[in-house]
Amino acid sequence: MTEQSQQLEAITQKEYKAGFVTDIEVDSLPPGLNEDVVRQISLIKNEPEWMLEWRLKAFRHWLTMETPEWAHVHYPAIDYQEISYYSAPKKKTDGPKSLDEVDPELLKTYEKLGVPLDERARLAGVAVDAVFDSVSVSNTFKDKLAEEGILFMPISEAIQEHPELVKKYIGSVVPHKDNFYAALNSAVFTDGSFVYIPKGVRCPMELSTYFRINAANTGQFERTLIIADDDAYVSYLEGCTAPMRDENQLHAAVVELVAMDRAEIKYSTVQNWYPGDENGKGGIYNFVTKRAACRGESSKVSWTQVETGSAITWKYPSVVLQGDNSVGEFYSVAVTNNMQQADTGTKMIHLGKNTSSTIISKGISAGRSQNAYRGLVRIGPNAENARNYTECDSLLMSDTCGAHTFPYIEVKNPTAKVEHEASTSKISEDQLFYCKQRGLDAEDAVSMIVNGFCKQVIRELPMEFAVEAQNLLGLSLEGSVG
Amino acid sequence: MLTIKNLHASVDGKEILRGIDLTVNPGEIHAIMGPNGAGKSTLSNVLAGREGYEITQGEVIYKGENLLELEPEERAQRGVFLAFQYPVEIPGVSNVYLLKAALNAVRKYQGLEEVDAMDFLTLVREKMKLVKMNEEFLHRNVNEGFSGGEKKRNEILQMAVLEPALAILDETDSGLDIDALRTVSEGVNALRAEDRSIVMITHYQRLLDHIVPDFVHVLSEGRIVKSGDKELAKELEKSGYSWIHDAPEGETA
Amino acid sequence: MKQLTDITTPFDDIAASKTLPGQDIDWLQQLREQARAQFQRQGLPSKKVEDWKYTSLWALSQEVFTHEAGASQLDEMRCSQTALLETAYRLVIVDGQFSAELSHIDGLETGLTVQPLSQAFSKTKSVLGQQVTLEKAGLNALNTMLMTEGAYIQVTANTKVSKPVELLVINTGETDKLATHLRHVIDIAENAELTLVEHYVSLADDSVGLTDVISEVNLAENARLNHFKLQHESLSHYHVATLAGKQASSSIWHTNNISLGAKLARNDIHSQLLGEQAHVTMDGLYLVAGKQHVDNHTRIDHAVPNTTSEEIYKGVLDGDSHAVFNGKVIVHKDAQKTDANQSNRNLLLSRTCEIDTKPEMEIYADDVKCGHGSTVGQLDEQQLFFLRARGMNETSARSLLTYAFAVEVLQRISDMPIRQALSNVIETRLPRGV
Repeated sequence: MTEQSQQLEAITQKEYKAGFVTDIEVDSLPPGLNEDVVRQISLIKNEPEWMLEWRLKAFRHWLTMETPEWAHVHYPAIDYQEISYYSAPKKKTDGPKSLDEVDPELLKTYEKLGVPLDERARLAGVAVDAVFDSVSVSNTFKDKLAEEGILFMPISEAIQEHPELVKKYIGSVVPHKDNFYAALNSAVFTDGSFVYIPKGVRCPMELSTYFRINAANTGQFERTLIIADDDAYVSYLEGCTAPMRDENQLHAAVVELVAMDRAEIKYSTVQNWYPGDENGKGGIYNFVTKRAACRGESSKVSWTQVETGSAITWKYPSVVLQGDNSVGEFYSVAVTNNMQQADTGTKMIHLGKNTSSTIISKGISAGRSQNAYRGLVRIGPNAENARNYTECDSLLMSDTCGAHTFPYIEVKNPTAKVEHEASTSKISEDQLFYCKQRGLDAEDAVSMIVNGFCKQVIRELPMEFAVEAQNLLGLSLEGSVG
Repeated sequence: MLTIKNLHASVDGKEILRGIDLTVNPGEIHAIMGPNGAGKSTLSNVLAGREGYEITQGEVIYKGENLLELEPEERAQRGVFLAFQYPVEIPGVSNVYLLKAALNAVRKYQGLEEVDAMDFLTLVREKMKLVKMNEEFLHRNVNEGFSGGEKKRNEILQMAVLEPALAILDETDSGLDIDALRTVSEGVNALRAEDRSIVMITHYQRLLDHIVPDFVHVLSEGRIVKSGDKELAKELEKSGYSWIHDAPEGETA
Repeated sequence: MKQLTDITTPFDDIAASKTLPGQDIDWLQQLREQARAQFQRQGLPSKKVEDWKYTSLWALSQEVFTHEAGASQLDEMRCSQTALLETAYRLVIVDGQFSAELSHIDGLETGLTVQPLSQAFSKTKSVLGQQVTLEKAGLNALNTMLMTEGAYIQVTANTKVSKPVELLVINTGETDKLATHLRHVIDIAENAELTLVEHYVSLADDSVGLTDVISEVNLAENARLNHFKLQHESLSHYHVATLAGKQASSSIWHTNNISLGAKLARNDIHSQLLGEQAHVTMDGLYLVAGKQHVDNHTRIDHAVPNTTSEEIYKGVLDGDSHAVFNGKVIVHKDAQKTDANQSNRNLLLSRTCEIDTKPEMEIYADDVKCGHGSTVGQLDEQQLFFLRARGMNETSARSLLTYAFAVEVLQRISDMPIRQALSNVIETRLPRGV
């Protein structure tokens, strides 16, 4: 092993910092999955009949489906009967009315994770919803947002308070039959965030949800639904962590975004679920379906993700470009290390005229990990003048990892212009030496080069998130002048 | 400042440097000239600590320390600066960010506070005048899309900001037109100081018209075969390098 | 498991009932038996198989093919007009049968063997079946159980063959729905060099038939094969082909694959770079219109360090045509210093054509330089305008630019007569209307 690769190895062996367990009393369902479990979840949530029926339909369909096997990932079969489908911190009363009533253990958890839930949140101007295991535990700023007519609440609450909106949009972007994990989620989802931005409203602050898996043997199945009505704008941030456990845990979320005429949704994710140890023991299976519908004309959806965690990542945040002149963007950094496996990318489905999409994907592989980009660009027969530009770069940091590219391009309209470029290379010794000759140590030099490699993506993140993302990438770039 | 004694170095088992002896005192400018393949770039890379070179004999003492034991960044932090013959491009990393990170790494070693953003910008703007660069360069990615001349000026800018004790200029004149050569040379001349030594490595004499050295050494087949003052360079210009093969073994002036 | 469920193709029964050449050769019989068993298990691939996602063999499976060709009336003159090259050794297969009269394989130069496979099976053991696996996709099994004819080409060490060899495969259309199953075995020894043209052509415009062919290539150390394939069969024809080679160190395989004809054409082209310094060039062009469907799947395995590959595939699509490109570059563990470059570019000329392209890379080593690019688009409006400003009418300008786009895939061909001949063929087949 050369000195350089030793250094790279040392640098890439960073520890998982969010791996502690919160000692908190929970209510949970015993492991196992059948119709009764679905009914029970619905009952606990005090849901209306239509919601239960929708869940049952999904569950019955799920029973007929098979686990997808096309992704470039390998793992033992999951026993869905071993998982508990509901876990919630024990309620002291009917649920927290304000932050003061939230269990201090919980607040401490989020504090440790750097999630601003309390006064600091107010100062930071970020409205936060926090989902702990299966339920939403705190939702700040609700009132202030309500003044603008913005709804930002746990989806369980939205089902009670705004059933007409939920009923209209849930499953309209990701139908319950969409895929194996989406069907499972539709049957057993327990919470998640709901956002509605009314016509003409620009959401005055970033909306943010932090997801935390705490309980053992629990799956997390959250469901997020964001609707931006005509001319509305919202920027939404999502962060994820989980304790270090030897067992694998399943996270199968569904996120649906709907952008109406001229609306814009910016959705940013920093995903740092526990990735398992250096031998691949434990870690989260992150099987997530995220999809946006640009339903209105000139609407725009932008996905930005920094994926550093999870033992296995299987996710393809997608945009269905229905409205004429609509725009879809996907910016992604996926880092895999040790035994992690990632199969991630996007789908851009062009249906409307003059639709355009941009895909920038940066994969960084280290250790013995496998990192695959999988993307689909589809231009339908009526999508006149559709445009897509895709750039897909991989950086290799060890000779035992893998970097793969699987782009699918399907074009049925001759006025389309589609460009795809991909490159794979290792971190350059010349660049490292150059930085070191200017006095930077190996770690800073690698950080700097990796950050430079990811810059096109990082700059799409809101400022607070960009800093967190850079830290996650093993970088220390606070106060960067560049 | 720098003492090189009987330095032997190999690449892939092939001996490139075969007994270099050189002493550089503070404030001196040394030019090392020689034909292609003489070992000029090997010497600069060995001094800067690039991987891939095996030191088989000899020592290099810099300010009383064994330079060869130090990592590249430790050498840089102690004031050894290499202006690269082929400066590398680093996509996504802005020039100004690299400069600031480098300066702070050096300052940290010196036990100084990090410079804040405002002071740093003031400093950089001052230094940029030396090499006639405009502010736009700061925000471009390191060397990305730079012309040959811009890359070399950028190297001298870094030297100006980092204020090294020993600067090694590796073929800094290569690929420059006459205007760019003049700009770069003026930059280097402005950085001449009593406590700063400069080692210039070059194939051609023309650089020495602009940066006048105190000593000139001729490197051939891994050894310094002749040393003299700036007149030696003129002699080389006239008669080329072919005579050195006829020179008696190990002759130095 | 049968992939095309509920479809019973008659191919395995034919294999059981037909008298096939080489029945006295034990290893061959065993291979055919294995192939038949495999085919019975697997059948033809369905669209559920990832490699067949965009290409359906349903229509093919529904055709009732005959495997007995009638006597053909093809004369020497027509045959020569059909050939691509005037100056070449020529092996001619007409309606699946070797034609000694039409072939020019007498008086071959020393070191070169060109024989019909039916007479040479016994010599092919070291190569035949070694480049392809029966398990893959069912088509290899189909070909192996039914192969009746083809070419056996061998070049001995240090021989640089002076003239190209043209394998001319002609469908006369005189036997309706004729299926031919061909296997070419090409074995180039150390330091030897050969230029080979595989040429598939129909004489009748709308004859229905099936050409099922596998070419197996073995390149020893420092061997070089310039390998061209020109396919312009009838627009009702089916063409399924595999071109698979193994390359020893410092060998060079230059392939160029031009698909102009057939209702459905599928090519699987596969190089395994097994020795250091080996190089493969995989270039190709597909020019399709009407209801044509063409699918090119290429795969390059960089199995050892220091190997290189380059690939350009271009497509021009007109009418209701559908083209598929899938290029796979795999850099195996420890195959350091691999340099691989791939590009697929497509020009769409009509409202109703469809292109599905998938350039893939799988990389398990770190010190590599790999890149690929893929584009789908139209003629450059600025270039069009420029040509029209110089006085050219729009149709000619479009034709010229389309031609320029297409012939770029020939630019790496160093043999000028072949390059010229291919370029002429391309010109005549360019779609005019836009």
